[in-house]
Amino acid sequence: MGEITDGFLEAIQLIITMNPEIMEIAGRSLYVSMIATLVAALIAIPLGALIYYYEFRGKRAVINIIQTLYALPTVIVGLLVYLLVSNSGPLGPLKLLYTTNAMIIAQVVLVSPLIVGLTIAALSGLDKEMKYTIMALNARAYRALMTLVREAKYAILSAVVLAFGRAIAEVGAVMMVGGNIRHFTRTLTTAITLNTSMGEFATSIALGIILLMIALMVNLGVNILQHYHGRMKDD
Amino acid sequence: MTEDIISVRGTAKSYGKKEVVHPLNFSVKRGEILAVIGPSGAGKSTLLRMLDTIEPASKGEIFLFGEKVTKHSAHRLRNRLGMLFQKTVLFDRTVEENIALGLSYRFVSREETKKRVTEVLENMGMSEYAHRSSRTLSGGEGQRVSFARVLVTKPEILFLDEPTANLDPVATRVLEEMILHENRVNKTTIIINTHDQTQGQRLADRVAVMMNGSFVQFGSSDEVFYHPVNEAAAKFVGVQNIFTGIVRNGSAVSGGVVFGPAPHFPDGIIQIMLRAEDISLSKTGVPEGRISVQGRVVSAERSGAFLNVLVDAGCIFSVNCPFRQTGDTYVPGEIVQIAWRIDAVHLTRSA
Repeated sequence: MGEITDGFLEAIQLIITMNPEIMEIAGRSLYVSMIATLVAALIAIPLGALIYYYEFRGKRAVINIIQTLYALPTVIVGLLVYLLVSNSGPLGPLKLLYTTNAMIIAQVVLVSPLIVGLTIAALSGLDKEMKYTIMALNARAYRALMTLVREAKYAILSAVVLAFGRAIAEVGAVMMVGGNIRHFTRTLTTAITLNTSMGEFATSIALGIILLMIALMVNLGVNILQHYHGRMKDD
Repeated sequence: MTEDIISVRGTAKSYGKKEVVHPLNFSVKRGEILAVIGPSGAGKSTLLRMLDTIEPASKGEIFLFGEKVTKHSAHRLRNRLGMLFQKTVLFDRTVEENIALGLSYRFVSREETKKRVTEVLENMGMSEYAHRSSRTLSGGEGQRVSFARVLVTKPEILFLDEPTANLDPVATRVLEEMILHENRVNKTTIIINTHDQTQGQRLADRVAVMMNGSFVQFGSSDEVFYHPVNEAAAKFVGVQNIFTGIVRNGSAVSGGVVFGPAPHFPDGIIQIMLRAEDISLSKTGVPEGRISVQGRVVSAERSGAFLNVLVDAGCIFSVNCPFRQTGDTYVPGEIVQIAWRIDAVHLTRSA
């Protein structure tokens, strides 16, 4: 019991005094996951919109596969990206292994399916007549997609925030492709793993509190967006 | 000679193995209003979407302005078409921005857009709505804004898919006036889907009755209303008295009741149709020159301004009489006279 209480108090102290190493780790986590989410959103939102807009053979199957990938194990993503960026891999010459860029790539792979799938769901939530109306107003495909995405903006933004939450909380992939190197690729999750195994509970708890606070803010963000979304639907 | 602005040749639509619109052949002249009436699920909406080129036909051809609709011509042709849907679609923007949307898709300049949006809002008496959020509009206002969004693109053909189905009677009349105005002032050709037969009568030059993916009847609204081709069409336009009968000695007979002469029918089985509003009911005598029979009241119930009385006179007749004209009430078992004019009876060969 004493160990936990002591750890907690020390953790609070570490946070209040803004311990440089902890702040550095938190900053890196935020940086990696934000960039990854942003890149994933830029790829996944247009892709989701395209899948929603066009009718093609096997569309149902494609959507099913994407939804299955929501639960993609992080270690599998780690393995895939590892193979991709390791020296003998196709991206080997870029020397990405054990860099934040490799971690960003891994998280992009991890959360893109989530954003694609939830974008499709968000657009499917719009009235079917809306798509017809836009087509009847003679929009070219890209203009139609832009109008539709804009209409579903709150729901899509919720999806992006959710994806960020998944990205920042995962440990398997960043550990494998980042290597948890101090001052280079250590993130909140990998640091917690390491410190816990070394018995440094105070640091782990401090990092955990920061991670939880980020998760809390993400959740709050989603709630606010869904509130706006709901209000729009009710009116 | 007026040109055929729309020409439909063997056009059909299937989803998977199910053909929801069977091959259709018809044409529409410039400036005409055609109403397609029929129950939900008849294929009316699918037909309009094909005509508006937003959904490809599975079979057959469609010609608009004399040009065949293809994947390549669709976009160009669609610039001259407009379509309004049953469900009001408003984007989460201001009224002005909603109306401008079609113009922005056509890359119309900012000044021209501003001018045309202002003009269309003025014509609709909705100028003060320009900067309001679309969320603040009532159902009728929203549908008028949707209509404005179509009109501002100056379509030569308008497709209206049950545009008033979700509106109250007052908002319906307002929109109907706007539709007629657009047709008269701009000579816009219009095809309107409706499940309301009376709306077809109010607006259309010609009416097509669509059931189960086919046109079962195509003609003037009077023809469709008074001379439905079969029982299903008759029920749809509100004919309440449909009897299976026979032709005997040149008269149409059913249940011992002689309905009237059947000059053009050989002896055999026929359908006899008589609108409930075309039958008069009285406790005493009947007017001259009418066919009348005596019967017994089965039931009487109020329906709006009408009294609907069921009378057993060999067949069970449904009779609608304006309640306040006589103020008469009827009790079950009472003996009454019912009567109708010979030309109120419509006969079809039995299917």
